[in-house]
This record gives sequence, C-alpha cells and structure tokens, in this order.
Amino acid sequence: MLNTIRELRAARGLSQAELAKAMHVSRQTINAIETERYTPSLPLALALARFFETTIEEVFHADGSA
Amino acid sequence: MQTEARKPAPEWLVPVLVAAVAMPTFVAFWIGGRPELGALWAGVSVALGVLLALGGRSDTLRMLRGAEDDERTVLLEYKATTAVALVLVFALTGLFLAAGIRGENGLVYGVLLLLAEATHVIALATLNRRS
Repeated sequence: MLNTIRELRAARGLSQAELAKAMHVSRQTINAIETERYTPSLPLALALARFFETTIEEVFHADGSA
Repeated sequence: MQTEARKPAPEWLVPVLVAAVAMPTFVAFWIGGRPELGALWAGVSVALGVLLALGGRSDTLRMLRGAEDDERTVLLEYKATTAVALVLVFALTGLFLAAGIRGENGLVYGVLLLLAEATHVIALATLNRRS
C-alpha cells in the first residue's frame, strides 16, 4: 500500500529504528511498510497516523494516489 | 490507540529446545539398539541449536529465535508454518500412494493424513467461533 511514512519520518529527522521503537515494532517492519512490502494492521496504521499527528487517509493511499 | 509490544520469549529458548531434542533422540535409538544412529541425529539437533544460537545478524534466524516479535513477524511465522504443513501433507500423500503401489496398507501415512485433516477442520471451527 502506498504511503508517506518515509517522508513523514524524514521530515522529523527520525531513523527507521527510532520510529520502530516508538511503534513497538522492528526496524525491518518499518522498512517493509515504507517500501510497500507490508500493509500494517489497523492498530499500527492508526498509531503511525497519530504519531505523525495526521490521519490514516493522509498517510496511506490504497488507490495509488499518493 | 497504541500498538502493544509482545513480551518476547528469551532468545536462548528456541535454540535450547532444538538442542534438547538430542537427548531423547539418542535414548530412543539407543533403546532400539542403534546408538550410532541416535548419536548422529542427536548431533544434527545440537548443530541446529548452535546454528540458531550463533546465527548472528541474520533476520531469518533472529525470527526463528523469536527476537523482535511484532505483527509482521507473527504473520510471516503463520505463513511459514502453513508452508511446513503443506510440504508435510504433500510428502505424506506421496508416501501413502507409494505404499499403495508397493502393495502395503499405508496405515501410518493414512492415519497421519487423517490427523492433519482433522486438525485443520477443528482449528477452522475453533478459530471461526472465536473470531
């Protein structure tokens, strides 16, 4: 699923490891989400959106209109 | 809502369990009068345990050890377990058919296949009721 996690993370100067620690997941999982190899669960997607103080719709784009 | 970290099992647990299979393996073969074969298979178990324990930075071995469990690794574990089940069912089916061709009753393979299917049905029914 297309998403803007990488851009949001980079804008805050965070590493994948730091974001992973904040989300209680592995760095590999953050990398998999950023590279669209893994679609996170709804709780994780919500947690990511809230971490970046935005909405799920702003972060994830199912229709490819990222 | 916040994602919750699963309390991971100690990383030494899986390697130790794998290696621990060595002792009953050796004893079983020793009782059966083939201690040399028991020693061989016990050695394989210990070697696998050591490989898991000393796997270093390999992501795959870290997942096998249960390190850094999260929703993605749990999903991967489910898929990998499904692959294991499929391989075993195909292997058992092949052995069952081969037994039939050889004129044997294939009872062991047939029972194991029935056990696999029964487990599948019971698991589906139970999971369906719980979800």
